Amino acid sequence: MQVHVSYSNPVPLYRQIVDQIREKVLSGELAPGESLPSIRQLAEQAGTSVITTKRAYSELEAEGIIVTRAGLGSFVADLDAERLKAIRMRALRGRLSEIVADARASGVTDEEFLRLVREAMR
Amino acid sequence: MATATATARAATMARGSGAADAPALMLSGVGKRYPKFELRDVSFALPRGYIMGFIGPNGAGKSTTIKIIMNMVRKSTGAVKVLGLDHVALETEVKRHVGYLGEEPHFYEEVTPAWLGGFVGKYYPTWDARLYKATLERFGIEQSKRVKTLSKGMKVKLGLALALSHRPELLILDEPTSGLDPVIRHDVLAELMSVIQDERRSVFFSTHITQDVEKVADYVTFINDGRIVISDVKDDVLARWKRVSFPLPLRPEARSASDPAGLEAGVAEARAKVEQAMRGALGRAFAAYKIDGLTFTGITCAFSEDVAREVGHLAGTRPRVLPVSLDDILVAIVRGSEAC
Repeated sequence: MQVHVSYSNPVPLYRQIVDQIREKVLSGELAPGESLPSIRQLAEQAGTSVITTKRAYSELEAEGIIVTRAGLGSFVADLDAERLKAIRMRALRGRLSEIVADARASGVTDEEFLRLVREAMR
Repeated sequence: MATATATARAATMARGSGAADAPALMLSGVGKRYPKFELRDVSFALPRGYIMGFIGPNGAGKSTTIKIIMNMVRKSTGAVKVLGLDHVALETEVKRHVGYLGEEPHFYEEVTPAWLGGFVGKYYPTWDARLYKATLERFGIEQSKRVKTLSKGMKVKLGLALALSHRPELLILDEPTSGLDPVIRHDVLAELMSVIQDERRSVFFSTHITQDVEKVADYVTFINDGRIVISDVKDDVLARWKRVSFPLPLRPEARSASDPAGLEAGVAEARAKVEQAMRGALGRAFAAYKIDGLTFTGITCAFSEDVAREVGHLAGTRPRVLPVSLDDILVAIVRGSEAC
């Protein structure tokens, strides 16, 4: 499993790792039950600190995407279609609220924003 | 009870790791007075299994601190514990478990790496000659070439191989990457990451090249003028320090003023309003700021949603918040602002 982080990306490093692993799970590149590299292995491979990687794994655990078994390591959780859908929806909601905040901050009204969404969906 | 403790202690010593749950390195209130420089109240701790980057400008006290840890310079005050052991009272024990690479390693120039391994290895009960040979091979250093034929980068790698081959639990490196080309710097950093694959092993390294710390370090400690300014989890430091910018809050009539004088007066008014706010409570969250034309840019060391909201209130719009590098933080610290 390859994870690449960018130090010039304003998104915090642990979030970059979370987003990439979540995406790999959602796309099926990582299958349910598949084992993940250890925190230290992933840190070495991605060139990030151990604490950053640890934070990313805790976040993924909190989201229910991975599970960690003491002494065995971390695995992709057993996710059924319904759970996968819920995770995808949550990820989309997160991205959307950022866009909405952006739009509001730059003076775009909610009506204008909704029009943009409808246009994009056409 | 006393016997049980003694047995446990003996077992710990036999395994050679000092007190197993003690931090890899702990300094408390360490001081050293020189005629023209003083190291004051240096305190920080590095938990086991992690990498700490020790950052500061030249002359800040990085090397002095490291030499104190290694008992090459005698401290005036304070305590230093390495793997839970006093660094002076148990110096021999401590040094068996520490790998050290000084700022400018001096080797006998006429000898070969193979000879050096034999020489250094005699001092360490845990010396692993096979590991030394394998590390040299991995680093591309010929065992039988004389040291004087090696480049600076190769000498640093040789020093690293020598420091690693007794399988130390704590690696202490003084400016290991300084003056190296990017490829060798990368190799050295990769080596540090591979050391802590074993979660009982730790690395402490000083540098003025903050990019190196930005990548591999779990903890950062900033030193300036002999004093510790920050010592914390790197990710937490980077979450607190942010660059914040916003356009000056011009009143609508100034924005739409048709004459340049009206606009100028509006800008001066907005500028004064921002400067006044910066002299107040909000200003204490900022290490530095500047107003360039119509844009405010500041570096805060206490970023939070509250600060963002307060700045937003002042600016009349949500400010842009961007990450800063450890370099930016170092510059802000050295420039010495009152706040932060």
